[in-house]
Amino acid sequence: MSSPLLRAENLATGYGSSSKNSPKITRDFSGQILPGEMVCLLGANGSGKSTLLRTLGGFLAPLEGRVFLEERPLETYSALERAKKIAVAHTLHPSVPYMTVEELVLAGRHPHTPWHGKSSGRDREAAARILAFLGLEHLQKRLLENLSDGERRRAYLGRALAQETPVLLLDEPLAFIDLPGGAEILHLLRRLAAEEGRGILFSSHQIQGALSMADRTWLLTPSGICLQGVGEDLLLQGDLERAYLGLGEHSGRVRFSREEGIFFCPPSEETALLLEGPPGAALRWTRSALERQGFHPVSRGSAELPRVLLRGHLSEEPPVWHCFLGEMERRCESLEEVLRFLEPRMRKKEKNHSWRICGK
Amino acid sequence: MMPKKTEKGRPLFLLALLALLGGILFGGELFFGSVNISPGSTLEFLFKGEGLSPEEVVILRELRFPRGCTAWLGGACLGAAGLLMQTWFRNPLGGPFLLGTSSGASLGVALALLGLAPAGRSPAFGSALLLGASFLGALGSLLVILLGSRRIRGNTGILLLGVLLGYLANAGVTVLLSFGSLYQLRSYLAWSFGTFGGVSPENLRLFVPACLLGLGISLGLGKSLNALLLGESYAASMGLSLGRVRLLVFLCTALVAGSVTAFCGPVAFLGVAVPHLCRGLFRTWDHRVLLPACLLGGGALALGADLLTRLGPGGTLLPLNAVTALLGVPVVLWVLFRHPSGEEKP
Repeated sequence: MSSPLLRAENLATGYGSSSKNSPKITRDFSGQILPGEMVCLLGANGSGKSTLLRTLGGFLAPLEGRVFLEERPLETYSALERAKKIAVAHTLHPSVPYMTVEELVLAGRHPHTPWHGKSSGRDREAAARILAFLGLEHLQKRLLENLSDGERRRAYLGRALAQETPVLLLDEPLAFIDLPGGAEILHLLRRLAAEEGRGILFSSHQIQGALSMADRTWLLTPSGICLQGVGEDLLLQGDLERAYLGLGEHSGRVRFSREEGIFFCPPSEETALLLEGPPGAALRWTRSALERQGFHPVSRGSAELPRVLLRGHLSEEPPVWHCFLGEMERRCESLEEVLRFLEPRMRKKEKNHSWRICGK
Repeated sequence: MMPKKTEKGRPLFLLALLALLGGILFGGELFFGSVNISPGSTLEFLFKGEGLSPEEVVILRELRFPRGCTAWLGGACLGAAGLLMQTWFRNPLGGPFLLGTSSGASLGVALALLGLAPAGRSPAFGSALLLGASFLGALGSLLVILLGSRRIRGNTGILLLGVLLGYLANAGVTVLLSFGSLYQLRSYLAWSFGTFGGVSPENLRLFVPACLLGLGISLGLGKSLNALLLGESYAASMGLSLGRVRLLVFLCTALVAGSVTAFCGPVAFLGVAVPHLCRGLFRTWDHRVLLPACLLGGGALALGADLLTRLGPGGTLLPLNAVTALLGVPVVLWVLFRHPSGEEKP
């Protein structure tokens, strides 16, 4: 087994000068990142993800314990030496007037340029490669001011990659990025880890995506202890939901679906109805729409129940719904119609919201 | 291929243009005034030693040449100080006058003039003392702003701190002045209006090296300042040792702002205006371009402002700060309107 790129030993993180008086956010943390490994850092808001990332990057002194970068104590590195080993992406991505995407990525070459800052051909090559890698080529001449949040986040990620460091510490690289974009970025990062042997630690709130891509997961719990393991194990053992729901800030209504790896709020007053139809996309999204509106679709039950019958699930054939409610029957061609038919007739009390939380 | 090349050459072209503008205005300084001197006869005098009357030679050598040099260098210094402060404090309203650096320097000068300067010393010692006191005053006020910027969020708050610092320094100066003579009061008041005309050829020997040293350091800071544009945490992550750069930026700002304030008085608004004008003209964020641009642009603007002071009715001189305020206040207003809350974008 190769030696770790980054290793923490009995680390306690937090803000303050003295280790005795300052409250510790994370404590007794020992962990490592190996070359080619992608580690995901999970935890509720305020659990100390950013603080841990800052400490591991050497931008915040640990309250206790030590960090080793390639088996050498991190504090013995100069800022420049460290910048050649660790690149970071923060949650902030300031816009600089007149700066283009390409120039921002080139700015990541800072540790590699001479004192006068002139970028060499090699620097420009690296920047061009990263722009292509992240699919930012069409934006390269665009001003940062004119980018969307997601695009700017991507450009800042490019800046970190341009530093060409063995270790990447990314604080919520997926925030503001749409779900397909997030999946793509995770895939690209995974490629970077696998092909170039880099060690990547990233924090995220997109549990599903993160679990599916990360080799290992570090889970920060409210008690300040960091659980480590394969993400799926943490999920199956219930650690994940305990870490997120343990703070008790969510009024006890939020539930976690281990099957789907998402948090959701079940309807408080369930209105059962029978949903029948061939399995597939149409059935799945019909259920989703019904659940959102506070209905509780079941697949088996008494014939007395209101019934929604789905037909025509093939893509070339648009789906049709037949709704039966007591004596009434209606053929609907959209879910909007279904809901408009069911809602006033089935709902008597206040509207029960039910929503699913898919990532951030 | 062709457009790219023009794009690349544009900064150099503009820099040359600013240098040329400065040269022309410098010529204006030399030849235009209550006594107009012809450039032709001056050239003749330089090469052949004739063509100018002895009075004209004295006017050129003792008054107009030092004044032109002072204005050019002083403007360059103020432009550089403004740019350094705007980038370091991430505050578009940064500048030696607005953030109280000039006031701090004034306090130093007043202390040196009224409190410390022992009578009967040589003038050279006096001006060195003046420069040192001004430098320390400027550095002190910068440190206050630095401490303040740790606590106060938002540019308007820092601006307010600078203005308060200015009032405080002025209060100190007023107290000191009340112990001074009427003559000292008068000369302090004249100094506080700002002028590029108060530097004698002897003082120039001190003023020029101090400015050049500061400007030289500033020109070497381009790469570091570029990294700072993304914020301190990114700059640190890209290998910038913040402590060292902070020291350099502060020493450099205090040196250039302190020198100008010591010899020219607290010149208003040039420092804050020049970087914005240069960013707009060059359409760039790159300090490797902006620094020389602010030096040349600041110099040209200061020369222009100094020439405008000569347009007073009946040959009287207008106060320099009145002219620079007319030039600078619109720029500050434009910045305020552009960032209405005074807060920077995250």
